[in-house]
Amino acid sequence: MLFNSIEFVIFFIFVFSTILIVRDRKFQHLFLLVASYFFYYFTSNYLIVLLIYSTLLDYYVGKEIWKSSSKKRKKALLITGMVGNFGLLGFYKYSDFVITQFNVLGTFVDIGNQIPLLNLVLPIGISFYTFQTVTYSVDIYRGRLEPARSFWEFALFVTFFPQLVAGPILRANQFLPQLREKIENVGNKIKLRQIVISSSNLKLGISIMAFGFLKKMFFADNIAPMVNEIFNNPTGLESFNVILGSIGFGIQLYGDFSGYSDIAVGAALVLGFKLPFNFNNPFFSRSPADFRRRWHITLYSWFKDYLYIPLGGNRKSRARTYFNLWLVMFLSGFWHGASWNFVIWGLLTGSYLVIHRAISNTFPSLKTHQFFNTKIGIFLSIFVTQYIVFLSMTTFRVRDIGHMLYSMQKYVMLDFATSGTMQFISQHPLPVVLITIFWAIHFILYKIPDWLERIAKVRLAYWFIFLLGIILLILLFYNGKPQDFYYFQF
Amino acid sequence: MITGIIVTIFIALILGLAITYYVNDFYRTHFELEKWEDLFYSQHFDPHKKKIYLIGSSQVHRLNATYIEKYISQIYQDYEVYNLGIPGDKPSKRINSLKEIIDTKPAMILYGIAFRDLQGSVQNQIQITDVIGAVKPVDILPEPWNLLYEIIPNKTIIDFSNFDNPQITTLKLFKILQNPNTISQITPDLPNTPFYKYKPENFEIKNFKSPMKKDYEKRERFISNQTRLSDPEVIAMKSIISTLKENNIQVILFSVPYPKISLYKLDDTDIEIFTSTLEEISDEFDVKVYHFYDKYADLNIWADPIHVSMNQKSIIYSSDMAKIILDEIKS
Repeated sequence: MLFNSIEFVIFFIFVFSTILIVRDRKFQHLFLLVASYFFYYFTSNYLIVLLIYSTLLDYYVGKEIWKSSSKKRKKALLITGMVGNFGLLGFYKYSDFVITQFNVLGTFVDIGNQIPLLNLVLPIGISFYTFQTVTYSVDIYRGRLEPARSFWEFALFVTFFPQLVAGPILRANQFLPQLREKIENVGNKIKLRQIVISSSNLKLGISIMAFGFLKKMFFADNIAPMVNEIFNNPTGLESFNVILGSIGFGIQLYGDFSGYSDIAVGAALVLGFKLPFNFNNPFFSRSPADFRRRWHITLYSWFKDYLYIPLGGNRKSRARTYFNLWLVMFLSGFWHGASWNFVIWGLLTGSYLVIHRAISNTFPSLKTHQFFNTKIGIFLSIFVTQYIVFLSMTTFRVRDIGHMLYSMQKYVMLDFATSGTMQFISQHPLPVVLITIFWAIHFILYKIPDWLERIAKVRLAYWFIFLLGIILLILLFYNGKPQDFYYFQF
Repeated sequence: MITGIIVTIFIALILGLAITYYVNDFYRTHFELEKWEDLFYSQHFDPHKKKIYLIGSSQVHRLNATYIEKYISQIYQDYEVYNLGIPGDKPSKRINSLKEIIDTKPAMILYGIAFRDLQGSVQNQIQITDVIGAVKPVDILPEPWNLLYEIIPNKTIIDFSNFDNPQITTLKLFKILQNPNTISQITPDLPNTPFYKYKPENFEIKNFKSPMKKDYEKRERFISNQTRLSDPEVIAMKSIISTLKENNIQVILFSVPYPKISLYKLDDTDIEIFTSTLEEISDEFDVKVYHFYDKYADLNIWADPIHVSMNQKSIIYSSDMAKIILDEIKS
């Protein structure tokens, strides 16, 4: 069920109304769980079995780790859980990739036989919920988390529909306490939290959702056709045309994914749950490391806590730190998809981080240099960072290696030709105008980070104008084709 | 307070939908296809130019009329080429505008025939699993829209089917608002292609994997083995050709092109029946037939499983057609 579909609107109104009307705590929690399973089942049909398997596996592994007093047993249980989770993810996501590579290798050494592909359907959201359930077992193993009080609570943590298919990637310690936040002791009984829909949460949640829809349906979906035209076959295009495509794709991807995240955060907030934000004005990052902290925040904080730090982080030698950074980004590239372009993207962004870290280590005074606090210094930092960020976006978008190399060459070695680009722009005025408007809005958001909170506090009449404006922009510029969210494929 | 917020959201939603509906309806009734047809057939054509029409369905639409005209003009400057393709066109529909076509006195008409054009009714749909080889989850749940239609009578639901791309309407209205004088000069989206409605995706070139799964699921099967010369669409087509010939208009038939992924679904018999039907019509009326149905099957020029892209990189279709026309003019 796509967020940008009429089915979701009907589904959400039904869930909201039920929670609003029926105040029984147990019913509310159970209803949310059933609704979340329905949400997933609607899209994925029988693949829901994998979600239930993952939930059961980690619930019992977590419980057993907690109960066990032996370190060895705890470790064995954790490994079992991880193998179960990552094994499933690996099988569904990477089998065909591995088979393809094996077949390619086979042709070189003349083995002859070709292994047939499995043609498996990638279960929607598997990369997200696998990471989510793994954190639960690991946090219990580390002694940082108590197991969920019941299976149903844990199941709701895994399946909670706003974040189920494309994040934000939740940690159990962020969500489980919200189910019991206001537990009151009545005699010996412990009650679940009653889900109360408050006017402030409702207004803010709807504002965030509306802005998410705007990012996705007004910006991303309307910029996508231009990007597709450029990157479906970039051969022969001018440098500026390729750069326009890269910037367009960066904004499309941001609008698409952060739009999805906003809808998820807003929908959860309407129902009284707080989810972490996934983006923080990434196009105003001043360094590759800063960009990492602002883009897909929950994924990279996951990698930091569950991979980078256990590998030693920056506590060991410089060389080891660089390797750790590089490895994490390589794996994050591979997490995005079983394709070489994602691997290249991971390696490239990893290289950015390593080079940035090496420069910082070699010239420590640069960090505090006065120039980088001047307007020109800030502008240059942002410009250079975005230039290399958009270059990496090219590798993310183009799947054909030949096209990728051509695009990257044109992006780096500017040919300064403009006639073709100008003609292209004249044929695609809307996406170019949208890119410009997007930058203006992004700048405003950068300067006024709490603007949505401010909007949610205005009088109803003004808020109505805000909503109507967004609805009209979406509907009047709807291009007739609801686009899948880009991150659904991961 | 909560009630107030909910009411505000619903009013904003309903008002937003109502405004969009009104804008699109206003535009459609004032400026769209019917208007274009009237404008095209009633225009004053240059009497010194001979007209060549390309007719057929959306697959004919993918021929670039200006490119063909330019190609021909290298030798013959007195020809104008118009692409009069209409999406979903069939002989039984085209026959209704035959009088208008004849009244404009074209010199030559090239009629593109698709597999489905000779059929009377929609056949069963091709399953995605048949074509792509991917495993599709079994649909157990009912389609939500069907449920809605069961609950609410059809008449009470606003029909948005004509508003398949509000964006185009909005942008055109912006142009009109910028310069109100252009209202009387509303022109089609492509030169010399009066019945074409611009869609950006028609200009994309897609590969044959995941992007087309959805398109493919919805596509009709091309042809049934029952197609015979006695079928209504075949009779309508014969009638069109006969009338055009009576009016001294040269007619050329051509089968429209398909990619391999679509041809793969057809049996040899399907193709044989289709081609032999065209050959029989050709013999009966002494008109030439050119076959494009498998000419570009292996090329990467497709916007979807049945349409050549309108991208410049797919120009081969128009280029080959231009050569045919040139040969016909020479002969």
